[in-house]
Amino acid sequence: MSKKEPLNKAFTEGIWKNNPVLILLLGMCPVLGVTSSAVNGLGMGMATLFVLVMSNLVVSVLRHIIPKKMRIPCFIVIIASFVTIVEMLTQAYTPALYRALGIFIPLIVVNCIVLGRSEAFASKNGVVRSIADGLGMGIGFTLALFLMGVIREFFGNGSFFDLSLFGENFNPVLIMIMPPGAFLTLGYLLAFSTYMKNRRRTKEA
Amino acid sequence: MTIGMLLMLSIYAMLVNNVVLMQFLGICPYLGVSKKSDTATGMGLAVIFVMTLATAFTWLIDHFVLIRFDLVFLRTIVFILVIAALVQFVEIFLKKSIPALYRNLGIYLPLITTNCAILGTAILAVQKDYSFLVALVYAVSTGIGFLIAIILFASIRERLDTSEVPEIFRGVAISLISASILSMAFMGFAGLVRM
Amino acid sequence: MKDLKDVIILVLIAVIAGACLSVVYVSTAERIAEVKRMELLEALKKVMPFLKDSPREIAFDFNGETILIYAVEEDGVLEGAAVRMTTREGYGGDISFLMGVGPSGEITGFYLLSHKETPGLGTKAADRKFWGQFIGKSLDNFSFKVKKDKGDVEAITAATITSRALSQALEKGLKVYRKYRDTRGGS
Repeated sequence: MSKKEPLNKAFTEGIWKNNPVLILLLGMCPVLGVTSSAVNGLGMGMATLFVLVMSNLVVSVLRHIIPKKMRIPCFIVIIASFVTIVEMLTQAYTPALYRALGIFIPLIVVNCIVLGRSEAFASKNGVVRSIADGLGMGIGFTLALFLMGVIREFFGNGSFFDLSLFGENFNPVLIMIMPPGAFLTLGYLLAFSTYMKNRRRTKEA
Repeated sequence: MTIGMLLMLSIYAMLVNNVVLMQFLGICPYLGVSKKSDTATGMGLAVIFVMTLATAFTWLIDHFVLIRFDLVFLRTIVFILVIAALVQFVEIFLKKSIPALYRNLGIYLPLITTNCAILGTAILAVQKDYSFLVALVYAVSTGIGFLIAIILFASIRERLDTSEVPEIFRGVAISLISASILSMAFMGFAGLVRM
Repeated sequence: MKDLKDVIILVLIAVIAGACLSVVYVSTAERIAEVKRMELLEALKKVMPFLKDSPREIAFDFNGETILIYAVEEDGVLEGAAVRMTTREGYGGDISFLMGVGPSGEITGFYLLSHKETPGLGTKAADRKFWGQFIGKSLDNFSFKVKKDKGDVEAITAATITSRALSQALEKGLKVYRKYRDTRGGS
């Protein structure tokens, strides 16, 4: 039983308490770049989730073989391989998503979350825990992207998953799906997460 | 391409399609190293330097190795390794030969390997089928665009430090909202040149 | 010696990774090509309602510019074609689209392939509301200029530049079709 609890924690940590985007402020480029709609946000989140879990898995399996001094290049090779696999799979099975995400799919390679988890967690922990960590962080990342996408699509296009909510007469706030809207939405989301954190702290005190 | 078109491409990459404010590449250093103008300038210069070198090297490798041997699907993995190795060499080279420059730019170099603007620009340059010269102009201009954006942003943040901000917005939140307004200003460049 | 061993491990990982990628590449390459072909065919069907089988792709030389034409023929007779146009006059950059042209040179459809126009404004070009007005129009019965420039085109609100660019490109596309029809001679 004593081993179960940290496993549980490794999973839930990334979803809210240490959310990679809203708390740790990692991997901001895709968060801002591809969240003009809920579908794109979700798609990008899933792609990153896959890379995170798989690279965490492989790094953890190979953690005793990978030489200390050469570890970063080794991690990069492993991560880049899974990114390329995702690239080919999305191109083959979800071409519309592939076009929408564009340059941000290969750029998962340099997403600080992925390399960060390999370095900080998977290279020091067992296989099962590393997968749990990858899943938790990936889901946390996906949730943040999805939230951004939903908010921006709602205001900027008046729709949810391309489903029009207000009909013809709604005049959307176009700026929300343009670049400035991305910065604005994330700014407000971060302020909200600080607000929640403060409230929890005052309640505890 | 004529000189005029090169100039247009350059303006397009610098202002109209600014790498940070319009394409969201290189957000991490943009938010991380922009608290003071002088460090922001250092980072910006380092980015221009590495971006140009990286685009040149990856372009050559793409044309003479990957395309020739039908290995284009290895682009991502090869490019990131080339950039990582390049940054290491630049660091060693600067340390030995131009220590003055190294003192100014050295601390930013390790951060640059994971700067997605570098990899992004290198990939975009080959995806757009630019010739070698055009790719170089594109890389330099994109880097200058980064420099402009980060200097502007750092100046805004220096002012923000002394202004009164609601508690929950303090820190990154208000910076992002300022970046949003800066990005709106850059939208004014849209349509400036036809690409 | 230890350094050498480290390098060997890195190289080994890279080689294994490369091998895995080649396997995935080979197994998805066919499907990627297939998806691309299907998507093009879908788009072609949209712009040419009269399309039955896949059309013949021709790289046509129009005053020194190479333009892709997808010609539909039956027993050697030209039934119409789709022209792939790219205009550099868009607001945000290049706009590429497919246009269908019927046998007598009238527009039968329009499909936006790629663009960099302002979301919510210039992107309305993909709506039928905009391109519907061109259906059935040809060089003889329509002036391909926006109303502001004394033509017949109802421009998209707040996206005159996009509308102007597309009108011009559509007109040019019809000219391309006409030249193609005339040069192939015979029928």
